[in-house]
Amino acid sequence: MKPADEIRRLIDESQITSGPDADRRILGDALDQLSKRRGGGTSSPAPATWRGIMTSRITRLAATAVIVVAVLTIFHFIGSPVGSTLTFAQVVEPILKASTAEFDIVIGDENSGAPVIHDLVMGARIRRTVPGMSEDAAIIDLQAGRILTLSMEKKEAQYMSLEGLPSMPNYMERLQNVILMLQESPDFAIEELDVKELDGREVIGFLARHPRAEITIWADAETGLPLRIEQNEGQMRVICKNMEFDVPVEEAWFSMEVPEGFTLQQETTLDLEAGTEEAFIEGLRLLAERFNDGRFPEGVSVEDYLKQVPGVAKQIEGMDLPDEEKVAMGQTIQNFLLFTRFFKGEGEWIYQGQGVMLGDTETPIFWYRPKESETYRVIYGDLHVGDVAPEDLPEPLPARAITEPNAVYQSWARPEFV
Amino acid sequence: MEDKLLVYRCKRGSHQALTRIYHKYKADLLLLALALLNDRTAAEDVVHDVFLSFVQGVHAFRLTGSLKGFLLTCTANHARNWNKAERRRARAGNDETAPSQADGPWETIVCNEQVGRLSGALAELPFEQREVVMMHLQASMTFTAIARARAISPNTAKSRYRYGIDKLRSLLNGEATR
Repeated sequence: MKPADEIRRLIDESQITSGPDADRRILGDALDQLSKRRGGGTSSPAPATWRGIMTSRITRLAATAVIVVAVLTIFHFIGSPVGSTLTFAQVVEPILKASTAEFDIVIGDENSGAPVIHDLVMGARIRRTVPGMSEDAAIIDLQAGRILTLSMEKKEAQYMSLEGLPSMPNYMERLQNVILMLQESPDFAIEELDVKELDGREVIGFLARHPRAEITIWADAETGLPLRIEQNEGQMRVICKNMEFDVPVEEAWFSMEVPEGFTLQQETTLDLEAGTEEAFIEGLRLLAERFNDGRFPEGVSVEDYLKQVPGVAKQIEGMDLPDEEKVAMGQTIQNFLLFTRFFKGEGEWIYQGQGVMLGDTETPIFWYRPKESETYRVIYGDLHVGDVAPEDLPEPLPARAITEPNAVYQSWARPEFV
Repeated sequence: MEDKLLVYRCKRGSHQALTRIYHKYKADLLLLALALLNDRTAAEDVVHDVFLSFVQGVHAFRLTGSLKGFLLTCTANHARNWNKAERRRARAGNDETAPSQADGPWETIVCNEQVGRLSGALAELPFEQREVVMMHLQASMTFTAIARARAISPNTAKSRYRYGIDKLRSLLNGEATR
């Protein structure tokens, strides 16, 4: 027996309790004190200001493409090992068992007026709407790689083919498989977060960390049901909220048939592999020349562009150009966005073109390191590109830009993830 | 996770949550206070003050470890302060507030025989040894954590613990052979 064992046993066997008088005094005084200190408050998000964008077929098309590519992989990283945390197991259980789901998605800052995207999921199909923006809908068939966009106001329908998208026979099943695989990953770690109030409900939080991703899941403290997921995908933040599972749905809501009374427009293509460096540069040129008085935009991420969409849409509407040219503009912007959305370089990209004039030969506006390259690609204000050694970059890179692989690209290139 | 919820609800003013915390941990806190002070009235006072302090600071409180560990550390700190104040009073020759004996006013705190043995034996140790023994064995604090909390070196914490345990064993064995 160790020297302390006897003392430890004595402590364990010690039984002590307070009598009613002590309880009244200790607890009573503490409760009185608590009553004096009662207080608190919460803030509510600002309303979205996007209404009106979808009035034009051209701007609607560009906006739809942005919204589709922005959140196509929303659930790829959900999941973690359960370990000894029973509550976390309860949190992921509804996802594992669900056959349908409903949730809202916000890209970037919730309070910046970004649109709230509403998704209904059944099997391989998603019905996506943007309630604050229009009555229009997009039906996404992940198995066929096709999208049907429906303009309710103009009674127009249009198909969009998704090229470069791995076929997903069942979105919910796929999500469930990803969770199960992640639960077996030894690299995943869970951290419990503080309790907080969310939309009037007490929620408990879990931060799931993996070398390639970071996801925060908030669940109802009473029911354990997941309510909100905050996910940092590469340099994009995606918030998934108001989640419900096994919601009643009708198959007709997910039909890929053109509804009666709708006029079918010419089919378009969204090539998810089209986000090349050249496409990115063309997008930069277009945005500076046509939409920003010769200066480069404030930002180049999907989140940044979502903030610019209202202004861009208004400007396109006011341009005296043939429709074909406007459509081509939309296509250029779409491919420009794909470059950062599905970034294929190492680490992070850096943009410092805010306010720089197009044609400036000296100022670097964007740089990144291509996969397996020892040098960086640096784009200058006149849009010429140079290969630059790390030590010659405009300024020191943050450490994570060099060491961490990019979550978005990894998830896309390796859908199984682990 | 339950403790995080309880703390959160306390921050929102929930009497139910505070009551739950009290009943969940009061026995541990009273045992530590009594073991350190060997005085039931003082132990009750210390636990009273611990809960008052907790409520007064709860709005800014962030639970990073276990709530039990936090409250036990608070109890040890309050007991230490009480002990210092008591020594000052004793030096000043004021006997009115001297600690009551182990068989003093028992009506507010109820203990079994083991508590009496434990607090009686601990009372024979210097306060510094008592507190290290209890912080390590009851509150499960590491010597490094104890050292940090008491502004001493980890080696000092370890040696206080070793001396304390040796003497306690000797006392308890002697008690058993009588």
